[in-house]
Amino acid sequence: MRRKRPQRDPSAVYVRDAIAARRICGRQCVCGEGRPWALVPEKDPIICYECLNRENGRATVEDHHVAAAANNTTTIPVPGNDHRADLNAAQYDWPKKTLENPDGSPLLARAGCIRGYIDTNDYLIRKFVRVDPEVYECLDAFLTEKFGPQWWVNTGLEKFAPKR
Amino acid sequence: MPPSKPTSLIVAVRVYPEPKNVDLSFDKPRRKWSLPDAALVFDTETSIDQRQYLKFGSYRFVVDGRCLKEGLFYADQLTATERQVLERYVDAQSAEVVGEGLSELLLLPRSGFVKELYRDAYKARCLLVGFNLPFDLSRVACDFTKAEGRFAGGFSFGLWSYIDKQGNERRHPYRPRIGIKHIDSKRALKGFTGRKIADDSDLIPEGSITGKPEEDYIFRGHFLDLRTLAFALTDRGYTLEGACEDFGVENGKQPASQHGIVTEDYIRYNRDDVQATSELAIKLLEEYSQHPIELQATKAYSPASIGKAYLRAMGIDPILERQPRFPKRYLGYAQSAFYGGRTSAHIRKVAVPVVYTDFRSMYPTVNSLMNLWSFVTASEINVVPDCRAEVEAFLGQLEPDSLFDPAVWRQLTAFVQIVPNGDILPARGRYSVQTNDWQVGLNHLYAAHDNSNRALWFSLPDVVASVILTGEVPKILNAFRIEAHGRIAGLKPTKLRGMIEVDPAQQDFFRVVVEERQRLATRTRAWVPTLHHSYRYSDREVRDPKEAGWGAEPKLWSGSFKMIWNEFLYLLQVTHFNDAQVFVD
Repeated sequence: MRRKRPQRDPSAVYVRDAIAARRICGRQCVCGEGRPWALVPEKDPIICYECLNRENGRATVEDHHVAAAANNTTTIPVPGNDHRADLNAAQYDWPKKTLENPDGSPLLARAGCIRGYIDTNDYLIRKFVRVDPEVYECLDAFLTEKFGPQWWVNTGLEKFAPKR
Repeated sequence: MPPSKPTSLIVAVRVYPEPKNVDLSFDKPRRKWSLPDAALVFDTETSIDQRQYLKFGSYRFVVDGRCLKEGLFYADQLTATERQVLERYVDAQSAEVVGEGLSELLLLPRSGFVKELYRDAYKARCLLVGFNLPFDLSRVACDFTKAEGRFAGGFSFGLWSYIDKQGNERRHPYRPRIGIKHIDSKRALKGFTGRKIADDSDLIPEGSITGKPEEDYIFRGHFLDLRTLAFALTDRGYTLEGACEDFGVENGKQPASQHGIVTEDYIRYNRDDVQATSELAIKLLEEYSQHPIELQATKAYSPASIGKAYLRAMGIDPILERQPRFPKRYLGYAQSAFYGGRTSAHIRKVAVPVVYTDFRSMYPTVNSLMNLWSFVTASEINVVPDCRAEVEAFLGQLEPDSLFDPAVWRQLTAFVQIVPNGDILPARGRYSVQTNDWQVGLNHLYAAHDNSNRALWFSLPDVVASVILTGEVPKILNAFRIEAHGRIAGLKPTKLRGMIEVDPAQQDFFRVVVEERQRLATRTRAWVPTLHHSYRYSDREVRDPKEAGWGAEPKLWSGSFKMIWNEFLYLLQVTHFNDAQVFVD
């Protein structure tokens, strides 16, 4: 039994991103959104889905079918740009049959649920947990400058210092 | 000693064909190009008989120099036993990829591999990399025809097919083909052809700033043949092994114990070759990026290509772009007087006495002595017609020693029309019955009849050489001089390979490269010699007069003798470095 998590085909990901980027040509939305999949290339000036929805009086949060609509009706609300640039894009890597499950196979539906869970989990980790290490490094440099090289001594952070 | 009776030989000359729409060809916008960050690198192994059928191959998908995916592919006609060797191999081995890469070593049939090739090299516009790429592309093709249009004279390969309802394999009508036309053993023009119906995303031009599809746009691909790029950078023909050595590739080419039979060792050998190719690509592209030029690495066909890109970088456009009214008749005369130098050995494996003669940097030295940089950078070049008397007087008093006076060389910027009568002059003919190939030879030349219809144009330096060799001034019918006037506005300094600053307004570029070569003792990875030879000819090739917009019968300015159409096609392969460039794409 395969124990590894399903791997994405790196060239397929690259191809999709390259095509999306070609349509965008390095342009950005006024809000700063530059991810090709989150932009509406037909609009001039270019605009992201969230700004477009806001302009049209629609919600900027969209419902994402975690396991793909053909497999499970469960949805979670996510920001529109993340929905398109992260979660939907991740589903393009699924086997087409799992994504579309045309005959309603219970096994493919289950596969979709597992893949959807992994993708969503990845998204949440990226969004909430994986903060840039540069932020910590920058803060450490600031505190060192302000309070000296061992600024954490006698503070609540001391217990997190590496044991020597 | 000339033979008592000259041998009759048809000679051929270059011509300057006047394009129908000169302005249109020059006005095409030059799109910015940036090097793709991804590459599909592949190599094939074949049977060792004459037909060299595909056996198997391997490929790597590389992004920013990091391998993310690796696979093998095999020919449809591979025997079951051979296929089993491949299957066992991929079961036992994993891909050599970085952490986030696909760890499984893939095994695909040929059709599966070309699908990946289509997706990566055409849809995503990655680099398609190989060493001697035309050979490998031809091995993975499923059909071929004679190419037309842009690649006329070459081959058109079909890589993609489909199986129809009757079970027959047919050409895929909605995929591009790949056109390949060889220029010589180291260079070939390569490109995707147009598709029947292209997706919108395929119609967005490279470097587009709007992202809008353009109906007539054809994406030609980024075919990077490392053999060609290594040649363009060094002016040397390389093997993969030699290039890896000279460019410091860590995992260079390994020897194969046996070719043509699918074994584990042979598969490993092929994978190593792809790895070496992949690493060599990085090294060569690094080297290429040292040159501050806008030319695409995939279009650097020769040292001349790089030289021309330097001219552009210095703000020097071809003379016809800045002086479109330059009289074409004189371009034709000058073009017909051009004989590109090349040496080839006609006597092989026979001991003969030789005289070793080494002219270091001869082309740029002559260019510098004749002060040709002033023509390259001139705002205008003027023709001074009817200089026959002046040239006759010059030749009449010419002594070999006078050529040691640099001032004399500056008077050589002239062209002379003569009726040859035993003069020692270059002539292009099919000298060898065996090869039936057009070659330039320096021989005693006689016109069949002493009349102006048999007159030929020569550059004055060629005539000077004849006068020194024969002691006779030829019969001159006409002559003209050219003079450089002014200097282009907006000349920009550049740095050769990002290191040596050259100010085209203040310095003679030819002289700078001669001196730099003299300064550098080593010939290894000799980028200065590369530039040395950049001005001897242009490699821009006119492939099909119709495609170039010249119509079926372009007006030829070639002097006063007849041309045969076939020869015309052949002879248009190379144009002179200076002002006779013809832009066709």
